[in-house]
Amino acid sequence: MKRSVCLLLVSLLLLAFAPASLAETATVDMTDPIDIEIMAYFVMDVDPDTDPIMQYLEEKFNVNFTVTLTNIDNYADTLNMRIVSGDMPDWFRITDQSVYGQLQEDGLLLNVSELVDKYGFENIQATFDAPNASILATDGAFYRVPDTIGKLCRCIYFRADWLEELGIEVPTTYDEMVDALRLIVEADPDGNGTTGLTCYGLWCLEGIAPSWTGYNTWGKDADGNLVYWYEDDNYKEFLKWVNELYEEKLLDGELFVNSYETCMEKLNTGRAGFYMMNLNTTWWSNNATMLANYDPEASLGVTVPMLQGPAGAYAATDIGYYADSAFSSDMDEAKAARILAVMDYLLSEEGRELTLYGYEEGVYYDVVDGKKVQKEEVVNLEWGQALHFMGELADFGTSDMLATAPEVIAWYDYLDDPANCAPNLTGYFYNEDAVAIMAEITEVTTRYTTAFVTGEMDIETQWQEFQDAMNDVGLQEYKALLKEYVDAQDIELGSVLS
Amino acid sequence: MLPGIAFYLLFRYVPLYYLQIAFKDFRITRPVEQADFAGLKYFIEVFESVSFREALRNTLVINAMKLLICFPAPILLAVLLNELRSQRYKRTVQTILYLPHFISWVVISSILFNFTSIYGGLFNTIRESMGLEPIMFLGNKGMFRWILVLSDLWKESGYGAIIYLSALTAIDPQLYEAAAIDGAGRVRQFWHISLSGIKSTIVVMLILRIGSMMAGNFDQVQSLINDQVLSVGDVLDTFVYRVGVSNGRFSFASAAGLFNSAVGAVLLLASDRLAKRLGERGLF
Repeated sequence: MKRSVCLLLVSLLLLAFAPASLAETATVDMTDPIDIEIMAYFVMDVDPDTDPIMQYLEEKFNVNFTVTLTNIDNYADTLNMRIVSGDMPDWFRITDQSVYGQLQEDGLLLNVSELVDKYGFENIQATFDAPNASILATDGAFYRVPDTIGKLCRCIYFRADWLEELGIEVPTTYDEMVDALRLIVEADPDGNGTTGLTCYGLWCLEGIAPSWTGYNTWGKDADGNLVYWYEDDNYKEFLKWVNELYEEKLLDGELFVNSYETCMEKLNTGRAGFYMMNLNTTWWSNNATMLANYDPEASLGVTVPMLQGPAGAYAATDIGYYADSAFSSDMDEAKAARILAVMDYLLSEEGRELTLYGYEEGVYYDVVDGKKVQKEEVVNLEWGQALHFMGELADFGTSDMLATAPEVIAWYDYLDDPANCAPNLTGYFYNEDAVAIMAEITEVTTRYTTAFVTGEMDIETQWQEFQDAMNDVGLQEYKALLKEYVDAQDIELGSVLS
Repeated sequence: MLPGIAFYLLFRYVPLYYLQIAFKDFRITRPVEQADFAGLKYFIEVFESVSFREALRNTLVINAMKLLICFPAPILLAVLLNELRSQRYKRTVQTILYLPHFISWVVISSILFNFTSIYGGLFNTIRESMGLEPIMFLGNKGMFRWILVLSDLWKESGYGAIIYLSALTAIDPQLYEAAAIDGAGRVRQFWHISLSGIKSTIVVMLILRIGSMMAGNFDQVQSLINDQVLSVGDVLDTFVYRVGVSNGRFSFASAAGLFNSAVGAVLLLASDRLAKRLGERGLF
């Protein structure tokens, strides 16, 4: 009897609490249709009136989308123009931290955290809880929805068939890569006048610099002081290595003139043996297709794991986010909640499937061996790329789910181990004074590092001059500002090697 | 007429109001009137910037080179075209000469890249066939300014000749006939009739050209410049874009832009005054 009474009381207690816990999460009212204006950059035009995925979402959430798209080069300027003229879109991407900083400080951005708590948007909450995402918050609140770039980071591609033809083992260290470059340049296997390693700018090649420094861009010394890698003797050694490649003509003499397209063309038309660029499903597929068109017998490889340098083997992974979605604060809660409901859906498993595979078998995808496979003609022609526009808007990293090439899967597995990654977690640092100082520091570093690589300046004798020039334009002031941010955000930086 | 006036009002006069951005701590999130007054802070930042003096020097040097080489070229071209007797041939040549004007600098930079590449580019292939070492033209500090000048010469000379051609056609043909009867050869006719007939047009164009010396290079330089040649190729327009606009430093960019315009205005007025001293009408 007592037991039954106890059970009854417990049940009553649970029932009493149940409505309360339900009341904690508000429900999004979908009764009235609302207009949502989106602004973003994309590879092609997307018309909500004709795009079936957009129409599907419009119907599902009782909304009408208006989409303003630009190419990526014009995006920031166009968005700035609209903000200045008081015509801020409801939903837009943030590519510039200084713009985010000004919008957030002046209260023009929606506090997403508040509504996520109130309406229980679990998928958006999951993006807040993801690794390193807390860096994107301001005073503990998110004014944007983090957009991951997935496993996109720089790797080294190479002509696998050339290595085989010349009897060269796939290199495991940078010294071995130099040996391979020498043999390739000397042999010129396709007779087109090949360069050894091609890349676009020193920035591109800095993807391997952590293998000399042990950290990416900013590190901490034993006393806890911040160190910019341009101050570090280990980075100096990296520059010497690059300079030697350049002098020996093993590095593309046009590296400062190249674009990523010209580099791809060189690699995939027999004019380069190695190429440093981003590796993910899309870039692998683009390179492999281009090479197959040039020579169906040719084959590509990638250096996974990354090659060993003096400090180890690291991939420069950066912070892992870019172009997050932000929302205007100038709208009522009902509209804001509806927009976030769309976003929350796009971040759900069902939403991700929708923007990867569409919603109709046979139209967007086929099922092969129980797995969905995109119909390439649809995604390439109608969507413009493998991930639908709304998928890219929500989470670019979703496209990683498409990986099928063994090389790409191996790369993703490699990056899953944090020990292999050298992230730069300061990428979202914003401070008006710091922006002005860094603009000047960049002017100095660009000029000196370029001159060091090409041999126009001597690294050994002019290194101190370089240090003085950085200090003259405020490197120490910048470090003080960054230190405050790093401490406040509790960012862990890599250790500077002694 | 009205669209023209509207254009100038909207795009030339209304923006003058926003020059105050250069003197204020402007943020894109607030109206310019609400921005705090900053005095000459941003001008000082511009003048203290490590690359400013370099960009100023390059702007003046590159434009002086263009003035010396690219300014006379359309005049010469117009006179040569004017000498052609076959109208059909003249029209064909004119069309071919005008065409480069309509090609964007982005396309031209791509063509130049392919022509000058050290890996199979046309120029270096020719050099190699002559037993010479390939040259990285676009990364060569000694050549980069000449590439800017010569590509501008190729692109704009034909189109720039139009105004001189129209001025030449306005010259009374009887003057040439009279000069020929008096025994004047082609060179003397060119010197005393053609050139003096279009002298006022040349002076006006020269004044305008000098006035725009500080601006107008952005598309060309931005398409062709790279880190290797920043010290000889970076001009004020690209400096403002790179250090100011692309970092969201709008007050800095406005201050640099205003300085640029002010120097341009001084050059315009000075050249106008010089023209008047030399007995020409000038602009104002």
